[in-house]
Amino acid sequence: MSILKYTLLTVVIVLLLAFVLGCGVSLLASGRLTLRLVVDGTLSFAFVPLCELIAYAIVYRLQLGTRQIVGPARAGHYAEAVDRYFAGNTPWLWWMLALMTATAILPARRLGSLLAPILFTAPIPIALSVRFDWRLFRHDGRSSGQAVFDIILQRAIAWSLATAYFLGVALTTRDFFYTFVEMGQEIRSWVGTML
Amino acid sequence: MRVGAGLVVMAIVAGTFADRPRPREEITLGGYRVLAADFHTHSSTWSDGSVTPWGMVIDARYQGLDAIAITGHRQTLDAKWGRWFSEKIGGPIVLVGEELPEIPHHVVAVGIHTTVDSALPVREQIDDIHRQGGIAIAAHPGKFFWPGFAPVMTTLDGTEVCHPATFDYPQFRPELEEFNRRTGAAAIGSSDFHGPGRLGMCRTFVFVREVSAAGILEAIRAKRTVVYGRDEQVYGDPEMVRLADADGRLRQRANTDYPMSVLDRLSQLLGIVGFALLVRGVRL
Repeated sequence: MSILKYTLLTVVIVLLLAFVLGCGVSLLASGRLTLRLVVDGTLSFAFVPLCELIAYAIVYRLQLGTRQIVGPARAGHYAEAVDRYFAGNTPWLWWMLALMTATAILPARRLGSLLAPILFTAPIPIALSVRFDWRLFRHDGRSSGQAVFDIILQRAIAWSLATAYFLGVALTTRDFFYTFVEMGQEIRSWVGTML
Repeated sequence: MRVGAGLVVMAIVAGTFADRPRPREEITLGGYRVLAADFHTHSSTWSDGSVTPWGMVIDARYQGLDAIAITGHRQTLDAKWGRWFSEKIGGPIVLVGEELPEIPHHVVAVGIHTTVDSALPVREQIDDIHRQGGIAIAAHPGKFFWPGFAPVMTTLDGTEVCHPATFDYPQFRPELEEFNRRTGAAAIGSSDFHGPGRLGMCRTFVFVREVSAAGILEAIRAKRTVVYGRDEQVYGDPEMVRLADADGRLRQRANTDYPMSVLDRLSQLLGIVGFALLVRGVRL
């Protein structure tokens, strides 16, 4: 395969994840999968796979080390690596599917009540995807310590980029910490409502 | 995998076919044109929203809104994009706005031209909003925010009495009601739209003399608003509330939990099953 084909493969992988996120936006904002919101949501959330891709490219570069892979072979190796790496999003996709199902069942005015369950359950896909990546990086011949370093580096880059993009100019240190205060209030209110 | 992809495509076709703008009719009550507006919304550029400014303009039409204020956190750029796009397509009135999310007071500025400095004390923020010809609305003023608003109780133009959180947390509603009573400002219903829920889920019916951004701002300053909240509760100017209740159409238009059609349900079902098959079979 040519470099162009491998590049296209990488683009398709990125677009697929953005498309799934776009579908989630459509369901959340309208209760149905409608083209106008799927396209809009795909565009709005394309930054998620792009941030992942940038972060992984940096980690991949470090992992590549002294391996002398050049030209189409290197492009192919990278595209395959991206393909394997993005499979680590599978726990998130199952989690999103559960969220989509809840969205379909709940009336629009009660969707806010999903926030606390989202906060409670998000650690599950986070943990599962870390486990997946740890195995992947170990499989690539990295030591346990190196694999842990790769995971931390990848997430530090990807999550920082994504947070900065998503929150934009609203992001200040004070806001960032206040987010946790609001999360705490949200959970407290939710628990209060449940009791 | 192919079956999954096919089901998702079918889900989108069904959903797109079912996706029709809510019927809109011009409503005139007591000599005023009544406009449905949402004054607190966030876009994906860059205010932790999920829909682009132009997507929100289109969605406003689908949700039966006549006007929206796009209120980015500490910025007005996305609102200006939205207004430009809406003017091009003949969409709803888009007011340039900003949310000043300081602690402990969130102020929504509507009808401004340039970004208000959120580092200013709340009194000066509101002075700047007024200098620009805009209005200042207290955003989701639950008890936690009351101390922050103490210096500006008499200068606020509106306060949110209907917010999506009132549907999830019953204790929140009386706090918003009490705050509105204390300020005597116009009653405002806003969705604080970030993606989940519906644009205009809480909305403000504004009784305008003139169908324009200026007409909307004038009506809010004069407190000619009506808001339908949780449990059919109604807020606003008593005379406007009387007109609205006698007519009945505003109460209907306030509800965004409209029944889903068979095509909608089909879209949901096919989409969820299709994605389940895709996630099982595809390595993204």
